[in-house]
Amino acid sequence: MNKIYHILRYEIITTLSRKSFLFVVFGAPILAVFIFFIISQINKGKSSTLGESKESPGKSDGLKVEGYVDYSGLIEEIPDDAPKGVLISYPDENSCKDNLSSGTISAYYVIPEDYLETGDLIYMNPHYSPSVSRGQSWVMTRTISANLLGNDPASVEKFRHVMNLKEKPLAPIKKSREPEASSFAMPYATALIFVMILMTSSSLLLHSVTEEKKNMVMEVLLSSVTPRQILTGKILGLGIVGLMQGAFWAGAGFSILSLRGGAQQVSFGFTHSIFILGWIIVSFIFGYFLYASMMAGLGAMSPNMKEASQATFLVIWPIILCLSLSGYLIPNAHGSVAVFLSLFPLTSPIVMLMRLVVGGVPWWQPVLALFLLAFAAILVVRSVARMFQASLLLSGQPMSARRYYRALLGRG
Amino acid sequence: MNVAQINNVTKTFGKTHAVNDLSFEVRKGEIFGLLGPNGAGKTTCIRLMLDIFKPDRGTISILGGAMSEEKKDRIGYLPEDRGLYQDIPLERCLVYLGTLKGLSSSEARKRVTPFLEKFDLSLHKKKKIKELSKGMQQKAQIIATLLHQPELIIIDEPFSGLDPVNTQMVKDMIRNLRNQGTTILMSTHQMRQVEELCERILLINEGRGVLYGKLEDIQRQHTGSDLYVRIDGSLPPLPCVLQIASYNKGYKLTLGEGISSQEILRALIERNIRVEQFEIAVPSLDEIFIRTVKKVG
Repeated sequence: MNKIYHILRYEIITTLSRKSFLFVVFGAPILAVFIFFIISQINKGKSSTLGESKESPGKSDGLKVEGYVDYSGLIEEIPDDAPKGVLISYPDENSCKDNLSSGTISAYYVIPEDYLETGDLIYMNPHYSPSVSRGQSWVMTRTISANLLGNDPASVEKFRHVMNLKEKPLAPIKKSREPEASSFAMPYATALIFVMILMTSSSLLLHSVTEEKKNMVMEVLLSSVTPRQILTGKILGLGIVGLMQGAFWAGAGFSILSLRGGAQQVSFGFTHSIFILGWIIVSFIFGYFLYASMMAGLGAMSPNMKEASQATFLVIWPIILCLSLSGYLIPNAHGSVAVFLSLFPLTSPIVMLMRLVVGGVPWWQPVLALFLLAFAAILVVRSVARMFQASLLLSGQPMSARRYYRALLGRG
Repeated sequence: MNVAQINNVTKTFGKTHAVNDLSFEVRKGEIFGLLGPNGAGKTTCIRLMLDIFKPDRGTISILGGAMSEEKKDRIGYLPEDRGLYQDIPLERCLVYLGTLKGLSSSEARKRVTPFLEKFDLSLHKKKKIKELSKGMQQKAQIIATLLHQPELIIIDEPFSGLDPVNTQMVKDMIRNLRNQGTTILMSTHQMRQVEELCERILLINEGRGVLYGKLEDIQRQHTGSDLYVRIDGSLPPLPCVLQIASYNKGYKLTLGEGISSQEILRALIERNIRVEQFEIAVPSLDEIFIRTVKKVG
């Protein structure tokens, strides 16, 4: 046990003292946060300048000033609980266009005459971006709602909390919600970050094993510890590094979203965020054990880093498959393909994560996915521990897919 | 008492018998030489002793029984293919390898310092291993082998990559360790070092033991067919001498079967030849090695 601790400690310290690794894990996110911070400061400066110089001082929270033309005559006043100075009324569209081109407003709404019949509203934004533009539409929604309810605060309050909905699905949900641009981006980005962390940690393990083979350290190690101790120490050590990386990236990601004023947007997908967070952590641990063990097996069987790197496809193809299919899986998050892949251990850490972020997944499915993933991870770790033997670690035989899969299935 | 006892051990890889029914013992406090041509099975034999490989047949007893984690900590191993982490500082590498031999980090660090001083590596302790010369790396590997004060040291080609000064230093160190009671199993191709250091040897060829015992006894067994002779004048024809070769201002005579050195000496005296040197040639280990391997082959 003590020796496993020493191996684990060595792997953590060695990995964290590598400059390239430090840059990828810490430098890149810090740089990204810094860039977004600068951008947000510039944007903040711009919008506050606009706000102060025009007719609506005192507006808040870095929201941009937007205009509206109300042909329906619905909006009599801006409600008290809407941010002040964010919406400016104009008599016609031409005035809006003039103010837009002069930079007084960043976008404008047109409320048509027949709004009450059709419910249609036109949003004119010269810098349209699916993930950002809808960020402050709630101001207009709140304004219209209040005016529809006669600007009575009690009615508005009741309207906002019209019911306390508790979802209890009775059967698998066949059809997902209509995908919005951000509801695709969020699951995809979350899964992508998850994959990157998983792959970084697993690749570190592969690199560590092949490096020790190349440097002939393996024989020295084997005279002191058993192959199983080496494998355990490495998996645990590099897993901890992966979790640290994940925590840091998640923190950086949240900081970026906060700077963009999008932190609120994140919460819409994470209706059960604690549950999802818990699921992500546990599935990362099992997913890491699964993939890292397979990578370690690859390292044990490959004579050098070059062959090992070329053979990584044998391990990561399920991940590539998931990411390639994400365009189909996210809009059809509750279709049979998505459900199958979210339960299949090699793909569940990614596909289930996508589905959870989209929402509406029956509780038993993530639980079952975790159970299957844990079971598969245990089987694979045991199988790779058998592969991780001296005759393989010290051999220079060329790598072959057939040999690898046979060894993984215990037939090597 | 035997530190290692190998009984009828066989190890095969596919159809190749790397070690074939091999038996020998290593006694406490001796320097034992494991010799053999390339591919003879020396490294496999060492790996079997270290429990890196499991034997197909036979038994191996190390330090009084089967190998265990605790026993691994009492053995030092210097492999032929030197293995050190290239991208980390020397001191950290040695401390880490020490901890894998059961030392605490602080104890390992404490022990590294005097070793680095002894091997003139103190100034390089913060350098990465890959920045050190081959000789320095060799010395670092020796430190890693000795750091935990093992009872049994297994060293494979300990002198490769060392200059004459460091070779002498390692030889002295091996002798000192032996004098302190440490048992050393040395595998090498350098027969002169074996002759200088080892008390007993095992010569293996194609996985089998072909010569085993005390070095003196083995040399005596192979003595008797050659003579070194220096005389005043030229050598006359002598009976039953198969070959005459010039040797160090004299001659090396290879005698035929059944003829003794006494008969040659008598023949020279009878011819009134003044004999300046008459010496029975003790064959070098090199010669015994080549002769034996050729004979077996």
